[in-house]
Amino acid sequence: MRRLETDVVIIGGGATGAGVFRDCCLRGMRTILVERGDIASGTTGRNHGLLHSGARYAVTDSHSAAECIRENRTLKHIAGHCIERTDGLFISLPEDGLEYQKDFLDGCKRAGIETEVLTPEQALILEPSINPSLIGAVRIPDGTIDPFRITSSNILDGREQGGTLLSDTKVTGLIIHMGHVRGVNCIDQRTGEHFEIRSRQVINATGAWCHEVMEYADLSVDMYHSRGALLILGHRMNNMVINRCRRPGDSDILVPGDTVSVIGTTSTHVSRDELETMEVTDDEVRVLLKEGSKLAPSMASTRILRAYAGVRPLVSLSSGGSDRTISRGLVALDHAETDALPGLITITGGKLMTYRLMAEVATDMAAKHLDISTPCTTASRPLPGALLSDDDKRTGKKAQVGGYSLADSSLPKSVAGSAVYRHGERAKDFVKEDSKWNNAVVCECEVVTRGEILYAVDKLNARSLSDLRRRTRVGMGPCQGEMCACRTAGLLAETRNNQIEALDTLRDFIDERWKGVRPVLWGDGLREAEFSYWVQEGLLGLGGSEGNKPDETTKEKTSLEKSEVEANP
Amino acid sequence: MKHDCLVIGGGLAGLTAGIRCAEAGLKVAVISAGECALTFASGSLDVLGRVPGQGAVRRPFEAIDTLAAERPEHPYSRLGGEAVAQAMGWFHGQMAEAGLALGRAEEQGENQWRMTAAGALRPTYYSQPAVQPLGWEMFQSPDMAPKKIVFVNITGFLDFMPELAARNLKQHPSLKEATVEHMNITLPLEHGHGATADTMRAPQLAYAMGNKDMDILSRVMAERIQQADLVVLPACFDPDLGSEEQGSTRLQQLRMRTGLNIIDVAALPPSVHGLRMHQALRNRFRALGGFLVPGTQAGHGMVKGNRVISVSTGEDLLFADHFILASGSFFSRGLDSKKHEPSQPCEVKEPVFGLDLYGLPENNLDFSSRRFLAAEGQSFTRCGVALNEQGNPSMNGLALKNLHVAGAVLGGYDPVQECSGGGVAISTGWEAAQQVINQVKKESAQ
Ligand SMILES: Cc1cc2nc3c(=O)[nH]c(=O)nc-3n(C[C@H](O)[C@H](O)[C@H](O)COP(=O)(O)OP(=O)(O)OC[C@H]3O[C@@H](n4cnc5c(N)ncnc54)[C@H](O)[C@@H]3O)c2cc1C
Repeated sequence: MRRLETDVVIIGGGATGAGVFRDCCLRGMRTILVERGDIASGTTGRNHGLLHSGARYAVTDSHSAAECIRENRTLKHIAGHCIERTDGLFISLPEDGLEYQKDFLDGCKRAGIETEVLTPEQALILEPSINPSLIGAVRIPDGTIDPFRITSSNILDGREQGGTLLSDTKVTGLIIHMGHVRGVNCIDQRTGEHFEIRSRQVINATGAWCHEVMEYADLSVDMYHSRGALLILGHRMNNMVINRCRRPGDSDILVPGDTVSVIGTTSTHVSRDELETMEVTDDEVRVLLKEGSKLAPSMASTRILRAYAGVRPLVSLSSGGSDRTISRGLVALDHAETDALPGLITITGGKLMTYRLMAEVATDMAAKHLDISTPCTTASRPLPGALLSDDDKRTGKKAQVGGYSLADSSLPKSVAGSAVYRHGERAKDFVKEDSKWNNAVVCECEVVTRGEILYAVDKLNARSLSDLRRRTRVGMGPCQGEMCACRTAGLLAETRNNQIEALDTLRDFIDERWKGVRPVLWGDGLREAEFSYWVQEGLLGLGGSEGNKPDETTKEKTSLEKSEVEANP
Repeated sequence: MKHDCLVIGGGLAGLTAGIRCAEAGLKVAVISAGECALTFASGSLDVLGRVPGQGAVRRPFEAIDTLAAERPEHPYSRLGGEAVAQAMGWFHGQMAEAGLALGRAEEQGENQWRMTAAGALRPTYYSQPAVQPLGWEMFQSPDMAPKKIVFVNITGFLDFMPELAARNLKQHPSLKEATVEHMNITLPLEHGHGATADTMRAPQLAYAMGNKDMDILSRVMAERIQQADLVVLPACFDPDLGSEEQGSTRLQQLRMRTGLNIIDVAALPPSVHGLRMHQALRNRFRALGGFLVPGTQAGHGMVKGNRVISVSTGEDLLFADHFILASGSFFSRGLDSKKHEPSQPCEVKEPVFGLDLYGLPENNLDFSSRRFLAAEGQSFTRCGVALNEQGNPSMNGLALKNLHVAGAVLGGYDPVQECSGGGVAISTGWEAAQQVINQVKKESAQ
């Protein structure tokens, strides 16, 4: 069996794992990150993308609120290309009353979150999409954060510092010797090869799945899996984040993001065997639409692009007796101290936007065991792509429409603008004047070029169409990849990268997108789906030829086998 | 002006119905709102390529009779194989008159194969003019199959995927031993005004190519492709119908100059073949004296008793003795779907008359299959207007005597999975016209 050796192994390539990866690499540790699918394919790829100001927790959880506002400011500095400084409103509707607003303002003040109280008229001028029947509003420094981009930038920095990413690789067990965790057993999910990685520290950053890794060492944790469903609306309805000024509830946040808006979320407790069932139900769609229309009434008549759900990795902490509190804050366990099992650290809970802090805490723990005293620099060192100085040019809506012009570039502004918007100064690596064919626009909705696709394959470790979607937004726009998915698959086939089976990845991508469309299949979404069906199946025959259909029964079977493996590691 | 017949919808079904009416001497108008499904059609015409549970169909008209017994709701079931064959034969003649000589399999009544831009093979009935159709036996065994196939693209053109197609085609059981290659040829694009192929869709590319480009293409292909049995190019030649005689289209010239067996297959939409067929249909309809009203959306149909009186279009009311509804499915807005009540399934309507429908969803997830490219097809495509035994549609159970329905707005079939879209559009359009013609004859005899 193949064996690798390193200082630190990180399990899980969500935002948290990616942040730990970067931090460890920056502190000079030899680091390998192991992710069973693609980076950001867990909860990180299935959330709301809200860069909290902390205001949402100001009344109920002042500790989280303070944590949020600190990280909010830090991320604006180090990850400008992943963030939009939209600001947010907390609006009070007649049914909410203004009572809560007082507590809310007090809470914000305690946590150090700046606020500005607005009249309904002022609020409507700032954000015309809000419910005009509002009775009050407060402006706070909420923003939006692109989960894929932030994860990818952390990974990119780590790899540039010498770290190794092993995606499509699952950890199937811990190597424990004489009461010490000494590494992990892995399986390469593409080739089926089993191998091991020996390490001095293992950091478990598997979020909602962290109990599985802990069980490899017979440890247990009381996870509270909270499922949330969201809907993506067909265009960008609002420019500021819109919240309800009341106790946090269902479907009370509308977040703009790139070219769309996202309404969410619901909150349902699910059991641990429901973590992979991500189809959104009719009921969830109903609640989201009903409550969401109260924030922005035009939602009722807006096209819904797709529906998706994620599971929050919350941890139940017993605080004596039967009084249980569920923390939204981070949970860091140095198992050397909590369970007398040195060599293993678990970092979970928290939020997307506190990933950096979580990473710092976990990396501090590992550094202590490895006797490394290099300090953490992730709070001040900008991520790759965040170096352009002018924030507004880089990330504002204006920049995307007007285009950020690369120095001396005569390219269409939309092309250069989108590239810079997504990749910051790194866009220079693929937006080049002279590379004629590379500036071809493959995805019109999101203005993704051939060059950007090839860059993501080459430099950002994209190995499938879904990987490319996460890194470039290809296929994420209103058409949901109708034609651009086919074009991109054509490009992948052209790269002759024999790790990528272009047609298989195209089929997977189509099925994956379909999952999100089915729960909202009506109106323009249905028209679009019918068109896709004509093109992809009718015109191109992607389902397969006669005598050459991908065998559906074997496909079902392998996925069954896989889930069995996952159930009994 | 009052017409004998007003056709709503200017796609394949509507224009077929219009041509048949005009040919019979009726005063007929076709109103059409916008893009129709031909814009993304392959240019080949399917009749019936697959029967669920039985796989590929070799003799479609025979298969229709078997289908009729099992699936009474299928539009073909009322017509029967013979009538469909008759309609297809008639259509072939009409297109030939318009300058589009559709290719058919050598064996009478048999399907041939259509190659797709992704390298799949689908059964079809008529192909675009080709020197040599891909006959049924061709891909049945390695002995009959081509030994060498080459996909050729114009460098930079994104809507044709030669590498992907080559890999996919190689998987076909009959081609396991064959050589499947691909190559790119860079062209200056004489009429491209400096734009490059990577910024173009297929029709633009077709207009951008000039004689110089054709010279380069034929020279490079002749030099670099040796002994290929089949050469596949994207359909980006001959964007317009030629009135020319045999041998004068660009594709034919390319074949002659290279000596290669070349076919051109539809790239991603818009489709050159589809647009050209649309042009042929419109030309033919006008040549026969039909009245085409483009850019006009049918609003609301006025019904009195069991007859349609008129159809509104914006401010106007259009009157006719007979009406044919060929308004397409969801994409063309012949069917509308809305979510009114979050807890109910979406509501589907035929917007002009509010006709009774077949295949309505009972809950949202019923309306589609779990996988997109599922062998069982998609239920939403089977939803559409239901016809009674006499072939008439109804409103709340009341049959409308002077209204006929054709094409994708009909329910009861999945054009994509069955490979039947073209045949259903043509035969139901033809049949609807036939019924109108018979009624007009009967009325004038009285
Ligand atoms: C509906 C919803 C909305 C949310 N909205 C927001 C928001 O607006 N703002 C915000 O800041 N936060 C939000 N969150 C919270 C946030 O998404 C999560 O806290 C965060 O993404 C967790 O990241 P993670 O890296 O810890 O976990 P994950 O992203 O889940 O990463 C864990 C990774 O581990 C991998 N893994 C698991 N087991 C193994 C194994 N055995 N071997 C290898 N790899 C393995 C998984 O594939 C996964 O990629 C939301 C959460 C939900 C559910």
